[in-house]
Formats: sequence, C-alpha cells, structure tokens
Amino acid sequence: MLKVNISSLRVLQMLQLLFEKDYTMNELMAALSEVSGERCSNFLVSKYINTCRFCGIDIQKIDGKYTLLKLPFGIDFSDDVLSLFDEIKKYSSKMRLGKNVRAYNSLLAKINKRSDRYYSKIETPEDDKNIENFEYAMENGWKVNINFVADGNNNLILCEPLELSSEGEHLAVVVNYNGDRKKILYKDITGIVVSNVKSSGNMLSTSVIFKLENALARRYTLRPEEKVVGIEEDGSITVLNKTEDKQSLLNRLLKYDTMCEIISPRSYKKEMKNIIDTALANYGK
Amino acid sequence: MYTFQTKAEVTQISLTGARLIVILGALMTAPRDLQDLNSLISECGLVDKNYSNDTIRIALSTLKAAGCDISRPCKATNFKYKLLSHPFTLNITDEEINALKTLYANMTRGADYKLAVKFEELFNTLSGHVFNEKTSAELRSITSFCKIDKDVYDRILAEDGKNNILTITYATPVKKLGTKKFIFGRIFLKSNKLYVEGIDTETKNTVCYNMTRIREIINIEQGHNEYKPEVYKLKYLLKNPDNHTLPQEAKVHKGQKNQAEVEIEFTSKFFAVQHILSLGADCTILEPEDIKNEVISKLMELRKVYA
Repeated sequence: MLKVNISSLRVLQMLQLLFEKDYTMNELMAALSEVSGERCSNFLVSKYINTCRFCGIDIQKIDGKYTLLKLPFGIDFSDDVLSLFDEIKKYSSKMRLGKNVRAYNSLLAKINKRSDRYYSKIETPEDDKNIENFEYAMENGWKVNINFVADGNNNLILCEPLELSSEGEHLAVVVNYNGDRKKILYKDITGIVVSNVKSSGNMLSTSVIFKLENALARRYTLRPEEKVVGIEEDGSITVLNKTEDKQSLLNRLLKYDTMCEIISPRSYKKEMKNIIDTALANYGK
Repeated sequence: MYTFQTKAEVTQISLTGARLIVILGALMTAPRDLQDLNSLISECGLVDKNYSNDTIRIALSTLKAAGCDISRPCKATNFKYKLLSHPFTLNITDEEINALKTLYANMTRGADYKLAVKFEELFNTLSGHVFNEKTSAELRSITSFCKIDKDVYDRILAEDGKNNILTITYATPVKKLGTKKFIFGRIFLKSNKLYVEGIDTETKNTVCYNMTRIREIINIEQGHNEYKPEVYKLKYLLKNPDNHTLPQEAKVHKGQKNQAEVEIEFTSKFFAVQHILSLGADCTILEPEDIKNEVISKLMELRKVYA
C-alpha cells in the first residue's frame, strides 16, 4: 500500500476536474466528494484553489464557474509556432472551414489550459444555409441536391456529400456523383438542399488503377488513399486509387507524362484522351 | 517557472499540495532525482528547510495515486525519476487531428516551405505532450519531414540564404549512393516534400535534391558564392483559373471569359514542364518556345499511349 498525502492528492484531483470542464463551487464540491469518496467542504475546496493559484496556476471565476486558464509548466511553443497561430487565425478569417473550426478551437481550449499563454480561437466567415445543409447531410447520411453554374450553364445534381475542401483561396465541396469524386467550387454553387434519399455510406464505386514505369515507381510516394496492387518484373507498379477527385487525379497523372498510364476504368481513359486532344488542339495539333 | 504569490496574499493554502505541484511541474520538464526535487522546492522559496527523502518519496507516491506513471530510478534513467504519463496529458481526438491536417494541407499548398516547417514544429511539440503512441505518431507524420535525417534537416535549414558549397551523400531513386557538390540555392516544398535546389559545381546545371534522400552532409565550404540558376520564365493562358491552385509566386492577370494570363518563373525545366502538364487542357503556353515544344512533344507521346 502506497503511503500518500491526502490533502495534496485532493489538490491534484481537483485540478484534474478543472482540466475537464468549468464548475460552480457547489458542483466542484460535489464532484470532488465523489472522486475522493469523502465530503469536501467549501472551506477545503477554496483552500485547494488557493493552493493552485499560489503556484501560479491561473484559476478564475468566470460567469460563476471556476475556470482553469493557465498552467505555468505546460506546453511551451517557440516564437515560430506562436507566429503560426497568428497565420492560422488570419487564414481562417478568410476561409470557411466548416466543422474544422470547432475541432481546432476545441484543441486550442485544451492547449490553453496546459500553457502559460493564451491562444485566441479562430473565427471564420459565418457559414450560410448551404454549408449548414451540406454538413448536416454529411453527418446524417443524406444525399444533397446541388445547383451550380459551370461554363455559363446551370446544373442540378443529386450526389453524396463527402467533404469541404479548398482550392487555393476558394472553398470547394467534394461529392460522390455517379461513383466519381467531384469537386465543385463554392462560389459556383447557387443552392444546396438536403434530399430525402439516403446516401450509400460515402462509398465510391470508382476505383482507378494506373501503372507507373520503373523510373517513376522508384520515387513515387503513395498518397494515403492509394495502394500498390501489382509489381512487374521490370520494376513498374500498378496503383489503386479510390478517393481522389477525378479532375485532380487526371491532372496529377498527366504531369507524369508517358511514365504513367491509366489502366481502368475506361471512362477515365476516355477522359484523359479528351484532355490530351483538347490540350493539343490549343496548339493547333 | 513558478510565480508564487506571497503568503500574505493567500489566506489558506495546502503547503503539501503546493509541494506536490512543484514536483509535478519539475518532472514534467525533465527526469529528476530526490536531490534535484529537494533543491527545486528550496529554490522556489516554498519552505525554508530541506525535506527528508521520505517526504519526497511520499509526494511521489501521491502523484502515482493521482494517476501519474513514474518510473523507478535505475541505471537506464541515470537513477532519476521519470514521468512516463500523467492525467493532465493532452488528449487529441481524431477530429482535431483531421482539422490540423486540413489546415496544413490547405495552407501549405503552393506556399513557402517555412510555413510547413512551422507546422512541423507545432506537430512535434504537440506530439511531445501526447502519451498515446498512435496519436503521437500520427501528428509526427502529417508533414512527412520525419523521414528526413534529423542532422541533415537541421543543417540544411540553417544553410538557407547563405549560398555556401555543400558536399553531400545522396541516395538516388535506384538506391545508388553518390557524392554531390553544389552551391546552395534555396529550399522549396513540393507535394509535401522538402527539396534543396542548387548549382552543381562541376556541370554548372541547376540541381534539385529531395531532402529525404540526403544521407549525410559531408562538408560545407563557407563563402559568398554566386548563385545564378538558369531561369525559365513561363507565360501561359489559363482557363478557369479558380479551379487550379497556382504557386504563390505566380502573377495572375485575370481577363475576360474566365481566362487569365499567368507569368511564373521556374529554375528547373523538369518542374516547369510538369507544371504546364498538370494544368491539362485549361492551359496554353505562350512562351518560352523550348518549353512549349517540349510540352507539345510530351502530349503527342501521351496521345499515342491513349490512342
């Protein structure tokens, strides 16, 4: 049996509670009594709070609740990282980041409690109804109807929402449309409506297989969504890609020129041929 | 580390509790022996006397009872107590990691490598405060810089902007080790990989080395060497410019009918051609003529592949 000091144990137990959430005095007394198995009075809890404050742990009463704000011996970031937090804040003020804002701010709140500095939360432009609908459908497994403009024409498609993404400084939505991963710039979208059709669980039916020649295969880094499905004697490899947006994938593979060839599906091969023909037509070829 | 208030400012405190917080804070920063811990408590001015070793041991037991995992002092730890985990550790959720990944991917696309290096530092710092091995490894692998030799990484970053002559051991994609000597030019980020660009001292050609493949920096010759790489000034027409992520340094002059004229410089012909090809049918290169011809020639070859 370990010999312990009860009073100091209670101080740490109370600190642990305050790391998790903010408490009123009554809530803190009840929670600490439950954790410790013995009644903790207002006098004792106040003493423990004073002890923490005495050691430089910033605990303040905000809106009637005791809130842990700073820890003097927690995470210490370099000046470079501190400037990065500012850059993230600046970037996020221009970009809609959807649910990533909530997740990032939740991480910042945890960091703040473990640091002796305060890192302010990010705020992004307010999400409009279209973004809300897209995220709601994504989280609840519904398909969405998207109205958008492409080449001057209005389009309406029923598709599965996959993720919010960005293209340079522009927000984009990524969807599964007829088995293909499709990216649509948010600025081209005129409306997103949640349909009453259940999505198929975000599974894409398109698996793209392409071959990389030996010289490229040796230096190629697989994307997280890719896997090698074949290795030839000459050193070339066959790669399976399931999730990359169609246009991005075709453009990426195009830059590998003849060292890369799409094996399947036929629709992708046909699309690649079209891109090559159109590109050559730009030069009158 | 601590900013103790004077005793007059606080009416009631638990001295044993304060002592425990000091010990916890000390162990969070480094492994310590009983002597270190005792000295730290004295230095803090918490008490005027030295505690007995038994008192410190009881404090350590109390930390364990509160959920801290502290290793026994042994030869491997230089006979110091080491805090292996504690209940105040940072618990990062999958959703939070995804938010970091999204921010990293979006912000560093086409950006200066220094931004990615800052992210790398952030991820490494956070991973040092996470005891979950999987989360820690995931944080460290977001940038892929962990594949670069630590010494190479630090020394190459320190060379930025100096134009010294470096001699390195480099593993080519066929895993052949060779020695390379070049005037250091710049560092850049491409496809989440760091590259060093320079001028080969023998051939005078512009060279690019993937930092992951640099095995060792053999020598650094100090001096003000002239770094003037061959520059390919590209000018091209681009349809739907918003559909493409262009490098930060590209000058985009937007015109009518959703078309833009873009000017950008490359120091590598290979990357210049790759850049044009990656823009697909939306791009029509105007100049220079030799890059234009090479792009057309590549496209003609590709046409045969998909015929």
